[in-house]
Amino acid sequence: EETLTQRPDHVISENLVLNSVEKLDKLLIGTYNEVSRNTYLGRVLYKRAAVKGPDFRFVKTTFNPRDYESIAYKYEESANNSGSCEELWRQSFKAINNLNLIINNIESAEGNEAAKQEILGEALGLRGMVYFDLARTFAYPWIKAGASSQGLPLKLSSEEVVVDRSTLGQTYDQILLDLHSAHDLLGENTWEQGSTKYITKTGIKALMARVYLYKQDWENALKYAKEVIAARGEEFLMGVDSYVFDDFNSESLFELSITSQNSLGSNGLGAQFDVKDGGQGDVIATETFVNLLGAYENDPRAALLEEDKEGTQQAFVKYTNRSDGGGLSAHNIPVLRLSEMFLIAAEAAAHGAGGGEPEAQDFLNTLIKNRTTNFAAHQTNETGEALKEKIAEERRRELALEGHGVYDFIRRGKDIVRPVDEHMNTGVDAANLNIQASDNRTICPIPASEIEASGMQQTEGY
Amino acid sequence: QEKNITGTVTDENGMPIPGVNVIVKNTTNGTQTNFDGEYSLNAEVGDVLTFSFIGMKVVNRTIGSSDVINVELEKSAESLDEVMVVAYGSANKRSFTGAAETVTNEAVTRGATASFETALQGKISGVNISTSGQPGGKSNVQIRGVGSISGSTQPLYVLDGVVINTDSNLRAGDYMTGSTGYNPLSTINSADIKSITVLKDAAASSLYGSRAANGVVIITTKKGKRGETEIVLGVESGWSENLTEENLINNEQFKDLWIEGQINQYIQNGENAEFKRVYADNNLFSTYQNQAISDYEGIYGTTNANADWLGAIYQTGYLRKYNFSARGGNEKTSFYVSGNYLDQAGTVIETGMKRYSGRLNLENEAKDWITIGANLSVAKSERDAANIDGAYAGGLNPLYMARVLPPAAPIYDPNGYGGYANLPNDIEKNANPIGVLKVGKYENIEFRVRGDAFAKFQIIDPLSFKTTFGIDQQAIDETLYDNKEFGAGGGIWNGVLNRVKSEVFQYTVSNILNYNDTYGQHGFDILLGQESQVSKMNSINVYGYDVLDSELLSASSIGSLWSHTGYAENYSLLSYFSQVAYNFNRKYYLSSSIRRDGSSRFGKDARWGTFWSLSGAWVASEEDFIDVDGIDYLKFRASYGTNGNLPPQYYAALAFFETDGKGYGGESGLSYGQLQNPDLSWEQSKNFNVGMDLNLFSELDLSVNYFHKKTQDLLLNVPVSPTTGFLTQLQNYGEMVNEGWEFEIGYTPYSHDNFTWNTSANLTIIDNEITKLKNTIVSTYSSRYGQDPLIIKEGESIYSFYLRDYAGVDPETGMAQYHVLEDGNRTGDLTTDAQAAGFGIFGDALQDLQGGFFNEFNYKSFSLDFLFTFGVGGKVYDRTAFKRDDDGYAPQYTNTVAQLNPWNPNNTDATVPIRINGNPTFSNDVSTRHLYDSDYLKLKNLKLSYKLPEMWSMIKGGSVYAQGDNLLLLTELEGYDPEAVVDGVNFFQVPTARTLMLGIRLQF
Repeated sequence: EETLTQRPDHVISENLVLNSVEKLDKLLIGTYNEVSRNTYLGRVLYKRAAVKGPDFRFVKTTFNPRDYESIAYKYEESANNSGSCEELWRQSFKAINNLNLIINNIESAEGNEAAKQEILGEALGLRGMVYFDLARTFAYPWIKAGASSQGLPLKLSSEEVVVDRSTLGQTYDQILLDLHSAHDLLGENTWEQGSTKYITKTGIKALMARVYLYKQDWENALKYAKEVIAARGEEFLMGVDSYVFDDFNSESLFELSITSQNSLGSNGLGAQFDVKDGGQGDVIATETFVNLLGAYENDPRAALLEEDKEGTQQAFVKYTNRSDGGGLSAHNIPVLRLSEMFLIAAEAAAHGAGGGEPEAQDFLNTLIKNRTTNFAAHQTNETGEALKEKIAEERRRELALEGHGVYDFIRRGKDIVRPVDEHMNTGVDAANLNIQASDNRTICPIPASEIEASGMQQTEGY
Repeated sequence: QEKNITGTVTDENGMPIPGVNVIVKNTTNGTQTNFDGEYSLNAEVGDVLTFSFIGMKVVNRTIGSSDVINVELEKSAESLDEVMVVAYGSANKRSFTGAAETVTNEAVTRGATASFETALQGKISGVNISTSGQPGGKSNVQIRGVGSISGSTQPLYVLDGVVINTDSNLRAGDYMTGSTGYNPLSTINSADIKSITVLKDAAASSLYGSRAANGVVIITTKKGKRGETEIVLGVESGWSENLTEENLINNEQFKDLWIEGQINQYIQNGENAEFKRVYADNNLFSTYQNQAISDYEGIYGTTNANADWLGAIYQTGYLRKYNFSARGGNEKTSFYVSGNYLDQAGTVIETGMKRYSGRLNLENEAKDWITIGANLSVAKSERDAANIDGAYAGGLNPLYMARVLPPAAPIYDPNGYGGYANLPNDIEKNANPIGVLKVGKYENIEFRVRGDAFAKFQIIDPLSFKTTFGIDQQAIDETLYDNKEFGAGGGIWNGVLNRVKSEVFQYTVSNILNYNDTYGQHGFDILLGQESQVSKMNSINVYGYDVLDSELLSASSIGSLWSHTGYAENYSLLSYFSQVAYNFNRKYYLSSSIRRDGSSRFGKDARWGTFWSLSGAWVASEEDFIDVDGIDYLKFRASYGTNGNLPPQYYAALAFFETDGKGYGGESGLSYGQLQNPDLSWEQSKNFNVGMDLNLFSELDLSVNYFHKKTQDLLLNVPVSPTTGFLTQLQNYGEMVNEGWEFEIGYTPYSHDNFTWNTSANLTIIDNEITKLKNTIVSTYSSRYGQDPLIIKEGESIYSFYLRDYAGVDPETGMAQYHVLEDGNRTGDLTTDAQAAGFGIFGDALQDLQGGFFNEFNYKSFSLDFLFTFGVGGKVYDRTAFKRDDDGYAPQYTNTVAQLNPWNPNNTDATVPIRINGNPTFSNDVSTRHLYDSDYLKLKNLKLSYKLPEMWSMIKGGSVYAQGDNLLLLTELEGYDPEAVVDGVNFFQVPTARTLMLGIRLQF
């Protein structure tokens, strides 16, 4: 029997991990790694958000784009062919299962109590985030049918098999339960440089602001955005002269650290948009977006446009490779940052929360002030729909390539309009250029592999 | 006039043969040789004497002036008392109750490849071998069909009684970067092989237990022999080229296609796809045409490159083999030594293989109660391959690139690095395949030592005991260099280097007790055995970029590391087995075997398995009541039993956390790596076989087998809910049946004095069906390769094609049309929407009927033989079409004539759909448009040789010969060899090599 027991030496057995706080902490570290993989925040979700909207497109086929997320761009998702959705689904659940193992075992594991609390808090926070990203990708937006839409299967322990989908209301309840629990467990931020590579108490608040915004709970969205702004005020916003996406810049609330440990090279996020140094550069800005960036005088965001694969100035290079080497896609990936909080606060207020439209204008103007040298000319005084449009437009400029893009359209029930002449020769079917916000292809189908293996219910419309 | 003829009949060694029938042809006049092999009979001049004896080839002699006719009989292939090597011992053909076949030396060594197994194709019924054209490339060997879905489908290889390690998992890299298709058998020098026995049914193979489900191949190397030392020198030299060729377009044709596609693109997007209107409007059309021409020139320039990519990547390969062997011995000791050098260049530039090998086999009768011996071989192979034979088709696969790049992309640029051009417009990041191969390096060096030592004790007759200790040490060193200038190594990476070392050490201990005796008419043969095998592998893998210099490829040349990994993979097997054979009067045979195996690869709750067989045979020709003239031998056989198949993964049963590449933010991390499966166990096949062996007039041999092999508890990657974080888990689930008939026939149509003609043929009829499955397995669409054309479905064959039903080009719109399918049946509607067309099953890849046909002519010292192989009833899917016959989807990758003559409003009677650059219509995705019959006939081998006489007192004999391999192929799909691919999916594999070889063999 002894001869017949052979063990690998590069992996660790289950019981060794689950009984030790130290090892569960490593499992949490490993989960941050999983979250940063290309199949989730390391590429797929952000790129999908970009290419399904009107602001970005694939380069022409003669420039030989890689196929990553091209199905998303072309709106060719179907029940049998979900493109990158399948990997995103699996990878998200891979992270969730790691987190479930931590959450279910940390109490009984041996180790320091304070460490337990910190680990549990981060694990719950991350689980809330992953479920939220799944909800906004695989479920119809709140605006469509509110809480009654089909939500997610809520798998909360590693052992159980969950096949039934909850309602969207139940899904959001669970997300918020995780986030509130995390909020209560985590200690106050230290704001040390680099500390935001993990989810922190302020990071959780920022995430809650975003979740409430998607849930159209304007009061709570405003509340948590303001709490973040109270902790990190206007002085932490990047300015016209300091608009650089360095690691852990002043706006950082939560960002994924990408180093040689988890760099994805040409499969990573930055290389998708940047052709320099052998990057793919397969996704570039549309004229629509270039024009949008030209709205303000000396907008630092317009300065991010560089020469692209086609020879025009439409590569939007927000993510620059670290100068000290590390290769392609060697840059951190922002998940939550301060600008978004101003925009959330503005949007929530514009919908009547707090002080209403005047407060909304204030939040928006604070941001605009830091994005132009001619604030007087560009400050906003719109009201009503025009104000909301203004905020939405500002989000496109400010949060481009940060995982918002198309989500902001469908969340707000706005159709996606892509002019024919901007998408010529890119492989997209002309019939798939203009997409209604309610179109099923704005969200991912439940992957065929899930339905075949578990019999899970497919999303209506697919 | 009648006269008395006398003579002696001897065998090849000069020993007299008693009992030989000597008959005057076409008369009843005849006699038999006496104990001294002598005969005497009366006949007339001009009569023909026929000499026949069981197990010997028939000889005819015409009576001339001489009164003495001495005859030497040669053993026929079907010699009944020939000793066959079988599981843990040997048996003669008469007493063997199972289905097995032996191929001896000549057929094994003659192949023009590095590896012996490729020469077996077409020689043995029930065995099908697919081979790559790469030197040292991978073979796919199937014995009686494809036996598994996710588990191994390859047979177990046993070399001189020791199971050898044929796992190819220890090679470096992954399929994206590695030198693909490593063949673990290529370090065996085929010239050392004396015989190969293929065990097919349970009676033959189940003594190998948990690993024998896919059949067993037993390789026996040459032994020494008593007497004067015999030295053999052999030299072979040859050339090879590609057997299959593709028809390509020229520069002008490419330009026309590109421009037409671009015009149509503009019309589709800018003119609401109203092609007829625009084509009819001369002004508008020429506006677009001019625009398209200027687009073309913007990319490809105005000078025509007219590049010949295939001409640049293919070359005439060569093959050289030098062989030396000596064998001899005295009364107590015998030896065999050999040395071999093989130097082979592939038909793709920069690829090839060199092998140096040596062997020493020794045996010594130390005492009258003990014999000791050892077999030892050492081999080193150096192989250059590149990433050209895998499932990956992209910029780093030079053979793929060369087969999709158009003539408009230049190969050479005098100012470019090494004279090679960057590809126009950043196609695949400048992955000029010639540059990738010439400047890069993809080398696999293997050093392998195999050996065993044994001692055989004759305890007290009839009891004997044999103990064997075997080792198999394998060291691999791989260098994969993606160079600084071309491919993925260009740009910021400044060269990407992967250096890998891995090592496996395997040892085997077996102890076997044998009892063999006869009591009157009762014969017993009893075997008791125990065996253990342990294999330990470990590897170190360093991978990084920023390489100092293209000539300095050590690990320290890596400027920045991406990863440094290493791990061990170990496994062990413990076995106990027994076999009992009984015969009555050498007429009735019964045999049974049982084996118990414990394997470390299984789950802890399913570690031990039992495998058994029961078989019997009846030699009917020994019965008095079947004393029919002409029936010299007739035997019926039947067997039933079980065999197993191990999971290819070593730790598939365990749950664990991974550490590799899971760090974050400067800390190391862990992540859940595998779902546990404590019940994981072997896959079990239940084999039934009935057979008959017949010999008529000592001239015609016929052997027929029917087999039914049911594999259950299939090792299957069963889809699990991705909410587990995993897509599949290896489980035991499902059933599959391989069923069929095998026929072998051997006949000597003419044998006369100086001229003989021998012919033999074999035929296999085989059917595969998956009889139980959890889910139908259809892989999801990938935009890189399209839909996988294969489906795995209950009730269907394993390699069934799952396709749309193509209905040609719609003459109105130019779109590809499909018959709409619902549940695989036509509804009667047509559609041009690929998404709505539906799928159905259109045949499968496996040939219904497959075989070989062999003829041999001997005239005096000359001999000519040739082997045809054939297959009928299979299908092949051309998956290369997705990448290059894509109706403009990726317009820069068109180079075959299959795209010529597309539809446009002025050419409505076209066979190719409308060409639109960036075509989004899916018209290139899977459909019956790219499905072909794979029926084929191949002239697999032809050899002309001349037997050398004794010369200059030194040379005892030998031969000079010319030989050709894969000379002729008749099949439907161009550029494809049905013997190259087992699953019928034609991709960008290295074409089969056609080889011409000259050789000389001298015996001293």
